[in-house]
Amino acid sequence: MRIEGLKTYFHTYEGAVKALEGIDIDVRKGETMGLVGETGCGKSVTALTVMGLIQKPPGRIEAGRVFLGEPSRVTSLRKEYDVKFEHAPGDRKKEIESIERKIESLKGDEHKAERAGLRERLAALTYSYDLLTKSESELNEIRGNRMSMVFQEPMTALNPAYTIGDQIGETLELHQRDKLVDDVLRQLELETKAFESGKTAARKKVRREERATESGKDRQEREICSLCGATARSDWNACISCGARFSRILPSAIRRMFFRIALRYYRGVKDNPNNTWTYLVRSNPVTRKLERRMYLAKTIRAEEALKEVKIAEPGRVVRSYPFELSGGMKQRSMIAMMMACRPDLLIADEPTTALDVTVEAQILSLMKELQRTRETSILLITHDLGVIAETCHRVAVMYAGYVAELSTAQEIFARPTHPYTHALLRSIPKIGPAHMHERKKPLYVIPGIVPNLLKPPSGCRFHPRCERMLDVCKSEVPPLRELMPGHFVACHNPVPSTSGVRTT
Amino acid sequence: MKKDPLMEKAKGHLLYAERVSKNFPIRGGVFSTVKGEIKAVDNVEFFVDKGETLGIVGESGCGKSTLARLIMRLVKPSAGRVVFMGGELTKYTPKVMRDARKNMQMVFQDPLSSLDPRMTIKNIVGEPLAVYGIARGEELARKVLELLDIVGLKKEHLNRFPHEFSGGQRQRVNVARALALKPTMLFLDEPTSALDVSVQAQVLNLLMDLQKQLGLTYVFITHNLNVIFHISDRVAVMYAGKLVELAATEKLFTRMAHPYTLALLSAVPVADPSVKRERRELTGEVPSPLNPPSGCRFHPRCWQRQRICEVEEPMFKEIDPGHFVSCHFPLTTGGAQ
Repeated sequence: MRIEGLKTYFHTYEGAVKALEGIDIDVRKGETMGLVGETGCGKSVTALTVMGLIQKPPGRIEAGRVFLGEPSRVTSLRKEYDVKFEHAPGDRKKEIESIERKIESLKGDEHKAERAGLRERLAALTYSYDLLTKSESELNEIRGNRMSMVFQEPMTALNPAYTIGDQIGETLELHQRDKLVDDVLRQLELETKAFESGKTAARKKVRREERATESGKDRQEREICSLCGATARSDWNACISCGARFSRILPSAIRRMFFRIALRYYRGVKDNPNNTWTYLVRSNPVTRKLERRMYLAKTIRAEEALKEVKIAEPGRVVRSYPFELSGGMKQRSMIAMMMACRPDLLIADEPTTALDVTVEAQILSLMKELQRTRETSILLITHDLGVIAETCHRVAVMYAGYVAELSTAQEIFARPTHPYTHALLRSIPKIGPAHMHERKKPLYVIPGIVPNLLKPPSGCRFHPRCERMLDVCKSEVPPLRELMPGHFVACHNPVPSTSGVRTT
Repeated sequence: MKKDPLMEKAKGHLLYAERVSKNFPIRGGVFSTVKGEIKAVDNVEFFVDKGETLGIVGESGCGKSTLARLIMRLVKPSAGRVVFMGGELTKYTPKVMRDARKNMQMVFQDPLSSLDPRMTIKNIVGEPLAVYGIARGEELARKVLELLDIVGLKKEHLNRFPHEFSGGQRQRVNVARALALKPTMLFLDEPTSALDVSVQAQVLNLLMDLQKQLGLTYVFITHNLNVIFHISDRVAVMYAGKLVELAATEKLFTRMAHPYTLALLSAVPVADPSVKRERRELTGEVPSPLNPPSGCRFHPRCWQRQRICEVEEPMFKEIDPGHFVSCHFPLTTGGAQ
């Protein structure tokens, strides 16, 4: 993902709150980008803008673009075009038209490569990877599917009226309906086969061995197939491993009819999800029962998603309501929901702030592991510098709507060059045997308070609180420039690297 | 007259709590009979000396705040005795208790919700003085101004309302109100949890200054271990309603003896990516206080549990002078961190 010159204002009666003043951040594939800063510095606004969740009005995106999954070739082409057509927007339109005509004229397989190249040019010209140009329905396709967001407070982000399974299932149904239909069809075919073969088995109840869990003793019963001993889910009519049919009460002719109807319905759904016939079946209160198989498939997929985030007893959690779970389990379920569709980008807005340290450690290592196995990019928003140091590859420090400093985590902590980063690192109490002598000593305090974004200070927004303020800071906004390779700073008078603070 | 062993123990300490417990009954059924009990705080014993800072850490739901409330007698303990400044708090009548509370005040976590939004700062800070009839009129105004001066607020703030302040300033108002009656002891229940790091630094500096100037005693409750490490002289670690370890800060952070303390300390994210540490990650969840595990309450999550841990509850014993641990097999290496 790449954010370029993003500006978000909130227009209120008192004036425009300049929440974001042109920020540039890029998140590479498979990397964790940290976004750190104090309350009101624009961290969350950035995330919401990217997700297209800014309430408009009062919010308004004044400028900037957010590209998701743009290939690097398109990026460089786009930049070329931007320079070329900077003063001639009319020429851009002409160029688009000429390329469109060219694509149409080149037909047939022999021009395939050429067409692909032209399409890239077209994408670069029309900013087709820009999320901010997308319509609400296009965004709905992307949100939850290609990018998703984990919120700070898991209790308020989850709907208290639905079970965890329902909520994960909803995401799946929206974005992966075809996969669910495939699941249902596979199960249906299996059951039909079992039905035809005439092999029957009984469900046998066995007691799960007693084991001590955190919440006391767990004494659940489970059912197994009497023939092969595989787990028999209560909602399946046939054993998945040996293909035997569990005994039913209904006469077989009626049963057979039901199977046929169900098969026909789901094949219809697979061919064309929106056809009128399936719609009628779905909306009729009697025949709607057919959709129940869909619900079962959703639950099973949700359980699998929960298993991946290593929740204890996923089978129980799927059926639980959010209030029945602890904070850590809720946050794990949130992550399961967000990762269920394997997004390219995960935005985590203070995912561990509401959790205890031991649970926080669990969640952070889970996120790291999921990222390693799936190559998801993560934009991690937090105010805890410790969390940043432990998880992020690169960090952007934000202050009052600007990116103050952007570099690798190692660099930021070893050689903070923006006075704000420097001061921020000095103001946290240090922990560990190495800091015994610093205990009880006064902590470093940044003078003044975070500025009011209705009337932000002129020039560099940090200058009224800055120790290294120069005259130029009052009048000129410092640009984000590359001080060392990969280390960007927006400051007229950066802290020399020799006076780095040791933070441990 | 026979000497009370508790009073003997409490001699020389500002506060001594002996085997304090709090059980909250759960009622249900037709006649709302007691169905069970939540053991929020269970047999906790500790003391606080004058002028020191005792930090209490633990995860949410471990009973930290209930413990503070028990000692303030904001909730009545189910069992146990508390001696404060030579008098037994748990025997006081409400009237005597009211006087005793002059010497112990509390600062709460959320600076906004603990201030009445319809009262001005002047009224908020002056309220304790008026309630106890210490000052009125001109004198009250003068004293309030003094208090605001102590915590670093200005005269023009007097007639403002809480919503006009920033988080750090609100917490200053809270501290000013708590100091109004010149207490000897302050209970600080997560005073910086709702604040940003730079503001947190301001508030911590203020608290440390005040302690030096006024010789205050703090009981500092938080889940932020960095803050605890910075500010306290001794640290008590709580887990599921019990004290698991209590020691001087230096000792606790270098030679911790309880496995839970080790796990807790190693879970703290350190703001330095160059430090690579071995992390002792805990599995599972904090046990429900409704149905705590048998024996040692930490045993289902402990990596060195033995048979005895499941059956017998470990004693809270002194393994070194001033270092208390409740564990059958305390760590000897001090968890090489």
